[in-house]
Amino acid sequence: MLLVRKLVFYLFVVAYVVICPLTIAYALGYLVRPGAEQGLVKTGLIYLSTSPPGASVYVGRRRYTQRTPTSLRGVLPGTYPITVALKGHRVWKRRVAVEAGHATAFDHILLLPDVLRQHVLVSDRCEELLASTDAHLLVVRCGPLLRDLRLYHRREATLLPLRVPGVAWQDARIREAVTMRDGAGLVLSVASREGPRWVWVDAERAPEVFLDLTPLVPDPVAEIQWDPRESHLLFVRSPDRLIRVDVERGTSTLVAAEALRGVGMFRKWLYVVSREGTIERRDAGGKTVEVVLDDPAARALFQQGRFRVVVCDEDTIFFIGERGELLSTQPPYLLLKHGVRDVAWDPLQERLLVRQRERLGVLEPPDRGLPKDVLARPGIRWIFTDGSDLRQAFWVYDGSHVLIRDGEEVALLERPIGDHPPVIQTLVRVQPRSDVRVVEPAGTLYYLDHPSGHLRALEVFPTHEVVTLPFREP
Amino acid sequence: MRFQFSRQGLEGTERIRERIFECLPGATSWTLLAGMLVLSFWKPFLAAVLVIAIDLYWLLKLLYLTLFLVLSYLRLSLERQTDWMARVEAIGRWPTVELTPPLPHAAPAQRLSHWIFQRRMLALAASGRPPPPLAQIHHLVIIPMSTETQEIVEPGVTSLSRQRFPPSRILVVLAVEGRASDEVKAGAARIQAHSCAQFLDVMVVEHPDGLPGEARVKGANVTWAAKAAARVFQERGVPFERVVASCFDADTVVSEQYMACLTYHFMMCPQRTRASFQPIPVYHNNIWEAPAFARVLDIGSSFFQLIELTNPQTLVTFSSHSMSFKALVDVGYWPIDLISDDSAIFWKALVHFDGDYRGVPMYITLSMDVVNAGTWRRTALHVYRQKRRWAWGVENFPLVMRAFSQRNAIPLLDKIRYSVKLFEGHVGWATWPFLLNVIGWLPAILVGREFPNSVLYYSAPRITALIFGLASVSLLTSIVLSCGFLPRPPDGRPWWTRVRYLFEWLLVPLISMCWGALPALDAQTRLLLGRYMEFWVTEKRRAPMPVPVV
Repeated sequence: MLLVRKLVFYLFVVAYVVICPLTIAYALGYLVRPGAEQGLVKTGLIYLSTSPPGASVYVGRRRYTQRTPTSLRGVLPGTYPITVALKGHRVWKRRVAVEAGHATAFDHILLLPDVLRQHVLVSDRCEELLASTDAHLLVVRCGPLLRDLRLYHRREATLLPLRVPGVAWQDARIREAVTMRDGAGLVLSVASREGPRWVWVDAERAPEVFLDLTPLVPDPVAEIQWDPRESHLLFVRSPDRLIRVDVERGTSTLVAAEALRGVGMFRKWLYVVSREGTIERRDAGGKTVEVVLDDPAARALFQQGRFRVVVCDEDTIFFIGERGELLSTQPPYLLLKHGVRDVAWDPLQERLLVRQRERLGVLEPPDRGLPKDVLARPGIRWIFTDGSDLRQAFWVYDGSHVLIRDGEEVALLERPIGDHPPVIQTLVRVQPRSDVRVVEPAGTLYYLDHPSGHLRALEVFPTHEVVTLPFREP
Repeated sequence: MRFQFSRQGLEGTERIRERIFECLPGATSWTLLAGMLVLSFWKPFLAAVLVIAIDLYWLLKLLYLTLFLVLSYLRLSLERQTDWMARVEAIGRWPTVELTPPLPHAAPAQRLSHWIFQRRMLALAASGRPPPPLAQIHHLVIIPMSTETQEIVEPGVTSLSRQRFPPSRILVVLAVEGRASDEVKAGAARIQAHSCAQFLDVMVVEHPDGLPGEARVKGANVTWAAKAAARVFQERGVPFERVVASCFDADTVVSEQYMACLTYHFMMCPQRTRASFQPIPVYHNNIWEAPAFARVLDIGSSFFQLIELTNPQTLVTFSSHSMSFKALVDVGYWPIDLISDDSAIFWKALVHFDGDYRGVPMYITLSMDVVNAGTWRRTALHVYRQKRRWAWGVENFPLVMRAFSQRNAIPLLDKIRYSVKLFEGHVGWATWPFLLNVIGWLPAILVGREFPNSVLYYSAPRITALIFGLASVSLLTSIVLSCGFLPRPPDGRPWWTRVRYLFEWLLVPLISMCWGALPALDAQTRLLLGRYMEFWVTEKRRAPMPVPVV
């Protein structure tokens, strides 16, 4: 037994000495290439994960044996035509560049069905879908008057009129609607018989909850902000002051008797651009808690005009100026000089989507996992430049895609991987002046169909979980 | 110069050296765990590569051990039908030994066993050290009692009285702690009264509590008893070199062939007075009454010992063991201040005889109790403490290392072999489960944060999963072997008792961490910090066992 044990021991030692470096080399992408050019070569990898899974993978015309999610290993550096196909779904095709030692991961390949399923929710003609309200509610406007507002309850699939007490109110003409992000609040500017009025409606509790804000808000109203966490508190900015309105109590309080250049809200804190060009964090009472930015170089930029303040987190704040300039609190402050219509933050990947009239760009941190350095190396990568009139753009599907509304068309843009050009897939045509809304994780797109004006729902994204990690690879 | 196999009374550089060696296992284990943890966050790429190397090492080691587990199990199966007493009697007729060949229709196992026997006889003849006359061989069995009552001890004594080897040449010593309860002492007296006539003698030796230089450890008790037995043997004129001393746990039950098997190995070993004899401890007395985790854990312990038997070069005594009484007296009995007396006596003898000492494997089982404290929670706690006590065997490391550094007569290769085994064994015990089950997965996950576009990010989990998949071969082998290893469930148990048992093995990752690595790390940390442990008796319960079953 002892002799056997010794022999086997040395055999295993030799096995380890041989297998261990080979396994590590394989893990790093090294392979022995047979044939004339024999030798150790460093290969790359292509990772493909689709939704729905189980799609066939083709490299050129050769079909790969495994189905998605899968990895193509030992791929020599170069560019390969990759096709992913699943019966009943649109084919996904790319030319994929592979680098030695690198993995090119397409972990959110969305295989859209050949025919997208859509449902007509409201067959009446509607004029506008107000994009941002509570996830369970959609507010649609079917005419110019207040009584033309309808609430679509997604769970119950019912459409009810938004009833506002008083005949005079019913006939008021809607001039402007301000909706809350992720909330059911709605502030409307209307032209009633008594003159211009501001009204607040809690769409979730309508028709009971309604408040005439006109006596409480300054004139003119430059901007209204509120925090979904405290949806009863509105912060109304006029050119010379900032008022806090408590809609439940029907009271208003002066927060700042000064001409602020912009106001944003994040987790109950106010982020303001002062008249002097400093950025301050203030409490709900208007007291300055922290000066976020007070730099002469920045003041020069912030001392002119008005700004829309977009607070992504405590350290990541963006400002959109009147000319569409994009600024941040990190040097060099000015990211784009003009033309920015809006931005959208991706909290998962910590990237900013920048929308201009004709193009979309992404501002990314230099390395993942370093959110504080998000702007350390500013530089916007333009991922889509063929737009005509980009009205909406936001991250969807775990940030793997961007949904855009370009004029009358709604399209899905796959996030570009490396230097691969983005792929765009047109989904539907919508009413040109109406917003669209995507409710996740249901993955449904709500829109007003063009030209019928019907409220419709389109199932774009799968409801099942996406396989994003290689651990689950079969 | 006699080496002081104790940490008591050390001064100057010896004390410093002892402390350094005491710190080494714990410091290494903590460094390994903390290092891998830090590296996983700090340099996940490097950590992921290291984990692959570690996992591969573990896989090969596991397959290696599994191979020898199977071989050892086959060897045990081979000897199950062996009539050890017949062999002992055959050897007793030395030098005219007649080896009766097995009948032509005998099972292959019997033939193979006979062939091994023949070979060993030839080797013994070639050694020029003939076996002692059978009639002169005596056995001393010491059974320590501290909290163990008559119900726990008596089945073991009964099993000794039913030996094929003449019990009239077996001296049983019930080593009762002076601090034991009256119930324990009365139980010992009753056993003595019942069984005295069947043996050479049954002695009840009470060990006074708090003797100078002693710790509250089992070694002190059994040493006291062994000294009393020595006087008896001297009075009866039995030479010590003809006596085989066995130190059994109080709950040990042996088969009727056990003493014959022990005698056989004693007679067949040319260096019989420089050897310890190690059987396979199994925990069958109450195995079906114990909780799942305790059952799996103790079967694992038995398997580990099975594997150990295949390497006599580094075999160290564990639990119930036997040795030449002469060697025991020569080395000055068991250490009286160490908890791990079972392994410490081996190391003490190895050092005393300058490396001329060995462990002789015996392919026979003896059965003990699985820890069972009544409730699941209490049992879990008691098992933890028991395993910590076992892991406290790490206290031998500084003593052995200090001895090796002083005793130049011990061959260097032996020093290296034993040192590596002792060190790697204890560090591995405390670290492998954590490394494999928890820390080893971190780099594969974290590498994605910094190198999401690396091939390694996608390869590492796949390779690790493959390694774990291959490792399941070992797990399956263990499950299959354990099915043949276990006794039948008691009557009245439903048929699915055994099926449920198979699924209990899925608890291995958790068990290996909670009752494997954690107590070992606990023990090493205590040694590192100089917080020395004392003996702590585990609670064992079982249904009445009128007939010992092994």
